[in-house]
Amino acid sequence: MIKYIIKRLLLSLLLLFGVSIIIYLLIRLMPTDFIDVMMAPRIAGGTVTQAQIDAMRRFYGLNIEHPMDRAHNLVVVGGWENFFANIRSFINGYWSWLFAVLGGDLGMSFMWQQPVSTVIGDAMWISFSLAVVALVLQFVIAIPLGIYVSTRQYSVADNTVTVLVLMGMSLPSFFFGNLLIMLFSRNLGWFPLSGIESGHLDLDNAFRVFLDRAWHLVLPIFTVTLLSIGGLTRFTRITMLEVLSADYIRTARAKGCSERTAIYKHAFRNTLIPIVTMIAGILPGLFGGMIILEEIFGIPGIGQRALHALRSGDIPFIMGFNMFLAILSVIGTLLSDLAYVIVDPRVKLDR
Amino acid sequence: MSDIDKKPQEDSMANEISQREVVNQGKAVQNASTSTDVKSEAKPNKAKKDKSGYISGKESRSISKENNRITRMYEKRKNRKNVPESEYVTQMKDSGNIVEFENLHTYFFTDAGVVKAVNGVSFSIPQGSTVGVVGESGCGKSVTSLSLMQLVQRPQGQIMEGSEIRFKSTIYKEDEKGSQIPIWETDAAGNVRQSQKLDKKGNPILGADGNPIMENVQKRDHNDIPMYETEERVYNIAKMPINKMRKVRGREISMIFQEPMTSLNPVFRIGHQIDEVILLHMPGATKKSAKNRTYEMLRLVGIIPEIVYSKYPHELSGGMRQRVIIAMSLACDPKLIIADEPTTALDVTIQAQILELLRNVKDKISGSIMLITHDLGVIAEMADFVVVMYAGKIIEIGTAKEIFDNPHHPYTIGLQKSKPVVNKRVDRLYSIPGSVPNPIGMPDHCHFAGRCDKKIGACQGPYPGYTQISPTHKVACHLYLNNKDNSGNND
Repeated sequence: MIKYIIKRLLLSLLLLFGVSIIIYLLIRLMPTDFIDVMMAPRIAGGTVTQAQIDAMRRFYGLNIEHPMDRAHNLVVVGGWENFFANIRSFINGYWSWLFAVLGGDLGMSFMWQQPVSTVIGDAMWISFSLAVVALVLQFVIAIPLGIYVSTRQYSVADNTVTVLVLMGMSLPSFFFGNLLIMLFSRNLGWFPLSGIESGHLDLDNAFRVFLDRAWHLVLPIFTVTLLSIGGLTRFTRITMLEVLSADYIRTARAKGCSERTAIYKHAFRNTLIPIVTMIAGILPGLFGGMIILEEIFGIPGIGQRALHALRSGDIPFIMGFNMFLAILSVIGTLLSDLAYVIVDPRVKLDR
Repeated sequence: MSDIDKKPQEDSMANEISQREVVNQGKAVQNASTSTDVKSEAKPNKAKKDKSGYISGKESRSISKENNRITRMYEKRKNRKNVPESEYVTQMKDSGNIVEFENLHTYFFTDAGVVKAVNGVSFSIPQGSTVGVVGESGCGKSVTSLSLMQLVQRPQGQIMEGSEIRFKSTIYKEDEKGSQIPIWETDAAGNVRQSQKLDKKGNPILGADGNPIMENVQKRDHNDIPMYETEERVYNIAKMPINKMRKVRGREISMIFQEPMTSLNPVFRIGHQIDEVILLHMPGATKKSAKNRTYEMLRLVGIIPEIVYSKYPHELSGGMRQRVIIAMSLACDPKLIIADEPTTALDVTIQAQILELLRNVKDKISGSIMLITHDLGVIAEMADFVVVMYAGKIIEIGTAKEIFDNPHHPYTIGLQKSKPVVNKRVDRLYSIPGSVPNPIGMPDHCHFAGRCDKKIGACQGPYPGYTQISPTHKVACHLYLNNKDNSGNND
């Protein structure tokens, strides 16, 4: 088992290396960069010279030519020499980033002027608390609901749940979220419009702060939960139906087991097997934040940060954030493989 | 103009849609209930349906509405709480029998119509004997056995009103408070033995006067499972409520299924699965005594328990798994074992071993076996009595010797001819032409008439009654109906 885990971790290093190359390549190919975005108003106002902009570029290490210009340069101006110089600068940029990361330094975020790890570390926990609560709610509601309807296939309850759950699945979060904001925040005034903290708050009273945050998170959590239980409910229902028609459930009944034991002991243990595969996707979702949802509800979580960083071309942050997600995905997959061993005795990892 | 053009087109489209609907519904029905063999047995028939057999969506809806009404009625009755015992306690017709089926009807209410899977079956299983039930796929033999266990797929499958399945049950005697009465250990003089009452640490508990408190010693079997007094009671299983039936399942009637590969739960250890039955049905059994009993059962079926007890099903071969299932079915000393095609999924050498095992086991527990198979070889080897079923009805019944030496029904004769025989040269194995008829809406004449090579004019008439060939042998065929000189009395 330990041998397997070590093997998997070594393999994932290789995987992360590939991922980092792809992310870096994609970001550098973006038709704009941080300086362009930052300087745009001043360029429009004419208060900045090209020389200053070039100096800024050099300062940020962005002083290779724009990919759109590259073709032009290649043919008309500099020829192959210039092209290779660009490639070299590109590779140098990647290497310096990679060695810094290996040394434990994710770099400084252009936008927030703070180390990337600090930005991620700060914003992560808000998103995490939001996601954990939503996830727990999702599991607590969806799995029992799926089991309940699977034992009453095609009944009124089953059809009602199917319709409602499909409606939830099909609603986009930006639409449903805004609908809730309009209803509960603007019209009824029950919940705050956006943000995570009220303005006048005694920050010394930890309990009050907690209550205030919880109050701000009610609508986002409700939105996420409602929109995401659909998939899990359907999945549980389908798996449970399949398991319930298995021969060993008939054996359990023929043994004299009560319907309860047959369903919750014999069938449920088998239903868990496909459900644990979902662990792989849960981990990055927990820490990665919900980009659209956080933007709508104005929650300063990691999803919102990522969206802003992406818009402004904050290369260190985007690199750091995506590597963070990639590592989480790798760990998630590993965890789900290990969970498989626990729930399904037929799986052996050592071979 | 365009309206006139459109009309026939629309009609044909509507036609197509309704046909598709029916096909889809057929699929849905099959999907909904693959858990019983019954339905999967009925599958080929449905696929075979010819075009005229299709029903429109409207008809199908009205059928399903009617079905819902009927099944709801039956379910309601079955789910009642506190059913008075007088409703399902009855008397055996012949005390030598362990099970008596009388006029059993088990129907499946599908969206395409009512499938009469078992349609008026009556036979009995004498104590200590093996009764073989033969017939081809879809003839209702599995449903008969599932009806006996009340395991028919609900709510579509229902045992109809008027059916009786009498089972001689041995229940634990209960005192006024509803608890079981222990059997006390006695010494040679017939006095109840007593011992000191011990606390959990094994120290004697002292009474107020300083003397140890004495208590009666309960009789225990060699596995340390306490024994309780039992009494006999005859139940009508067709009317038994589910919670009472649960006490019969696994304890008095146990079942061996066709598929050893899928009949054991893959996520639990073998030992746990056998222990579960014992803990469920034997009052006072502890984990330790249940394990002892499991070890004993595994040894009985020729498995080394020390190795297999803590294994998972996937670590065993098919034959081993079937042995485990047999061990599981024996765990509570059942009165009747239903073996539903126990050897079909095994290869020939293992088949012989399993049959040998079943025979030995039957002698040891002095129970009966209801053996369901389509393999006449297995029947010849095992059975004392043979029931031949076709399309939900018994067409011939008799002792094994009578059925094999002197078969009467053309179907039985056909079955025997289609079995390969060693040392006999034939160019081509005989096969009965055609297949089992569509189970929906079967007409009231001999269901085999369409495939019979000895068909006579009377075969188009009403379904034939039974002709008694000998006291134990009867056949339902027009050929013998008026032929009294064959032997004995007409039924």
